[in-house]
Amino acid sequence: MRPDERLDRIFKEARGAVPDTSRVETGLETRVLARVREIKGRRPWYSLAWRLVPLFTAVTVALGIWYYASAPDPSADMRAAITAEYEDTLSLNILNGG
Amino acid sequence: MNRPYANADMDRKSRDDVMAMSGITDEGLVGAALSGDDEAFAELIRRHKRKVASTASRFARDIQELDDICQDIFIKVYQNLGGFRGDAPFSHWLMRIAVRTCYDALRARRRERLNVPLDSVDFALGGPSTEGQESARHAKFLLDRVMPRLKPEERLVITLVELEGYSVKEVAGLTGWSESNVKVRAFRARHALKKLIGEEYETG
Repeated sequence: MRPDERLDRIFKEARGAVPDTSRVETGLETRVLARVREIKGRRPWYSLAWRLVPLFTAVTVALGIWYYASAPDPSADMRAAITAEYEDTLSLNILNGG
Repeated sequence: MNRPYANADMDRKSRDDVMAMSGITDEGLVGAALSGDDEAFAELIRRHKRKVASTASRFARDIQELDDICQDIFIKVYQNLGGFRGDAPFSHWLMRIAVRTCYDALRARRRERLNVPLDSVDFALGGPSTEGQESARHAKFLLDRVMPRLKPEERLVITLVELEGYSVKEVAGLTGWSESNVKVRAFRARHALKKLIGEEYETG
């Protein structure tokens, strides 16, 4: 028999040799989904940073509110304010040799 | 106390889910899986696992390796679901991933340079035992002896063309290689196989 014919005959016969894969098929979806869940569970550290964005935003807003709330009230006494400003200007002039 | 009853409820719910999904197309299931429905992805696996396992079994050495390859294929499918555009049937897209994964397994094995004993290349054949199956078993045994001596790309091409029945054009589509490349590799594989099988017959 010529080598080409022999090879074709072997291929033809081997095509009929369908392996029994039922053992692998049984529960394959369960095993794959278990691995998928395992992969989902292994999130990189930087994905946590995105989850913390709302917390950081809330802390920043709270700090801003606290800063403005705790600042001393501007003086309602206009005369005292003008005097303080005048004294500051005078001190600056003296220091600058004016 | 009521655990068996709860399990029965869960089984019924699972069965109901499967029944509900049987009317959905593959593309519909992909969309559901992308939105986080794991049961939709499980249904995709159920629909295609036989074809995937059958093709992968042409390249695996044993049942354990076959299981690993099949799992890897569906994990890659899951990770790349977002890249499925739907311009070709899902089964074509899936088979491209399956073929690529089998090729990777062949290349990794070649790198490992493992000397695998022949008795580990063992799959039970499906169907009743007949005389035809005996000759099929013999042919498969012979190919299992000589195929590992081919280059991974040659083995991939000759297996897809001669054993899985794909055309050269289809193999080009599955592998991403040009048709002329596939033809050259198939020719080289046939040439090498003729020589190797001749040696096998000579040595008895």
